[in-house]
Amino acid sequence: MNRRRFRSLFPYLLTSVLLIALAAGFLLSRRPVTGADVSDPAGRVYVSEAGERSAAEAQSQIRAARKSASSAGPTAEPSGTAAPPPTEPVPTETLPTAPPETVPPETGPAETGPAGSDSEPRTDAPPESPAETTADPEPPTEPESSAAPAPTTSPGPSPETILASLQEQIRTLNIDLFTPDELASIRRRFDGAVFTGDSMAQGLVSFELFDENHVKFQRGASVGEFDPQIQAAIDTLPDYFIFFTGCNNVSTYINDPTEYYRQFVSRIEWVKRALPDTEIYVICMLPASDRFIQYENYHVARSPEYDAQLKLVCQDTGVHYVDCHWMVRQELYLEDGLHFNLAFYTVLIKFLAIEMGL
Amino acid sequence: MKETRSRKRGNHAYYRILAGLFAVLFLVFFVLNLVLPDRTLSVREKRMLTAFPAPQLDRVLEGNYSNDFEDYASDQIPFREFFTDLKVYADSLAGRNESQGVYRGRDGYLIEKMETPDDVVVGRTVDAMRGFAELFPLPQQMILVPNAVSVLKDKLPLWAPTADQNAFAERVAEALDGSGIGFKDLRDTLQIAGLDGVPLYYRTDHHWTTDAALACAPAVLETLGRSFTAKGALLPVTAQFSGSLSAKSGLGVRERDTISVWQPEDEPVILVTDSAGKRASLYSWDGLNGSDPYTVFLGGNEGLVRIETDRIGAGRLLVFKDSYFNCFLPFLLDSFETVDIVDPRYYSGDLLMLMRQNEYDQILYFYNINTFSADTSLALVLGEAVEQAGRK
Repeated sequence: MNRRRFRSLFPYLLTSVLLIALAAGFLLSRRPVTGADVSDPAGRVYVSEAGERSAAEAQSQIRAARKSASSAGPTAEPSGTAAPPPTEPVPTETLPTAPPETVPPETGPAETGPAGSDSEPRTDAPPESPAETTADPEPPTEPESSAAPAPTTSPGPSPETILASLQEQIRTLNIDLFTPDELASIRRRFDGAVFTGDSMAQGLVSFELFDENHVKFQRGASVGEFDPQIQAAIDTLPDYFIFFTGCNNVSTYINDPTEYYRQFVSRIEWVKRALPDTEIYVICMLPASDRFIQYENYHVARSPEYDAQLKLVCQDTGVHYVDCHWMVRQELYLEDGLHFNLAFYTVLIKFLAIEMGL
Repeated sequence: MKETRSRKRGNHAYYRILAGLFAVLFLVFFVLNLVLPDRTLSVREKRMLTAFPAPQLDRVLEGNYSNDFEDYASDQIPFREFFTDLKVYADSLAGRNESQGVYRGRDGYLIEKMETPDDVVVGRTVDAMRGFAELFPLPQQMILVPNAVSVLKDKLPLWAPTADQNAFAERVAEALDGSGIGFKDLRDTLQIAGLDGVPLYYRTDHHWTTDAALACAPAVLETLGRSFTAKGALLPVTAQFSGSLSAKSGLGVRERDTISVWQPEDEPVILVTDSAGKRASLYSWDGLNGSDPYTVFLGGNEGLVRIETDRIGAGRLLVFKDSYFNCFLPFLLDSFETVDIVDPRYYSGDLLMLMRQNEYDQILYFYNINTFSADTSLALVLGEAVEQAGRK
């Protein structure tokens, strides 16, 4: 009886023993194998001191080191007083130095260093290509809001010459695009600059004039709507902070230019607080094309009103207002009638370089 | 007669219990699935789990919805980790020691096998490098780091089939011969370091350790015409590292590795610029707590990272690299003023413009053999630049 019982239970017993053994093996396989004898739950036992240094400190220390090296060494490198120089020392330039336009002629002549080696001038720049490599491309200036070029005594193609050439190009619509070397030079000069804005700023990336590290944009945003991009731009610790926005603002702050004014002032104050040594430039609000106003959105016909507010913003906050209206031609719009083509951007950037004294 | 009936009855009970249990299991899991909140991230597998697919008419009609739902159900099943462990355990009982191209080696090492390299792919890469060297005749070096599969051969399962990395490195060296690109295979350096007891590779990850990188630093800097004199220490930053091989294969999920970082005594001031902005540290401490702690080095892979140091006048280096370079970078920083790091897999910029904008003194290619042997992005990036220059 017992025996028979046992015999009938035997398979069950065997199965359970096997199962228990397997389960035990499984549990053992799940135990932590290696020593996690670190008290910190994250397991971190060490944090570098370098992590404590802020990027701004590192940037200024490296610049200071460069400055002392360049003053000691034979090769001159750019340095700045009002604004620190671009992040990397760059010896070759195509366009000459131009101090910001309000500099009195006798105080702000740019010095020139050794001539550029890899750069070749285009027709918009007169044949010789002096390089801007020495001190003070950016003397301390009063912020200003006019776009008239300043007289300078800078040797080589003066800003007026370049400006005249640009104006001529706009007039004849025969616009010289950047050669690769010119673009390289422009990128070097704008290395310390960051653009932020809406699709107007995006154009700089779309036309491959600058990379996304130098342009932080949000398509279709008005000035109150791209704070993350402004923050990202601040995080690049720029020497030049450039706002470039367009007609979205008209639609967003429709019938309320004062709100537009308030929003813009608060953004500029923010950037000024975050980057006290940074020069802030605001590119004017460029109008939409006539056909866009006629057929798409008549509201944007009011953009000059908003542009006037923008000018006020710049006056009241003491930042540079860059007036680019002279380069607007109906032929330079893209198909959409709202944005500009590469030729326009080329002129804009060359003009900006003059305005900023790069 | 009586006995058979009772036996039958007993069996009836048995079947009834079995069927009942089965039904209860179904019910329990169904209810648990409903009740338990969905998880979004699997830390162990380092991936996002499938979210509930909202039923859409077109998906349903195309017949894809049931697939979506199946993915969701298998990702969100309760006790998911328990069941994956169970599967791995069952596999190990069955003597299976390979999963997803990863071998379970000796001493807890997971070792990624090397696929037989495609000569056409590698040939294209080498040709692009030669073309680029013709275009920019700067001093340039190629560093190939062998992987665990060849350096830790003794830890592989017996007779595990894998391609020969030595032969591959030799072929690359031959192909680069006369191109002006110097070639350095770190095999010997690594093997000697291994004999000295340096842990060369992580057990759960496909990367080499910072210890191994340190051991190779003098050799690499020598090929760059510098010398490695920096003093410092390797400091562990986490002992809880569970790497990609473990995530990929499901093997060794309980193993933990230690990640160390190099702390030099005389630390250069460093400014790191990438798409996220500027930092003063090479290390991303947030990455350490994230799903892939190896991203502590440089915050992971970026298309272009610029490192500036206060070693003014020390030279400007351009690096094309894979992730093996990330933990090696600190050893270079005492010897260069600027190091621009291009990861061709993520680089979308204009390389020709980058070369024009900057005056590099040297170019360094830094790859591990597994990645290099299958890489197509380097050839693309270099080839594009060469082509563009030719067009002009």
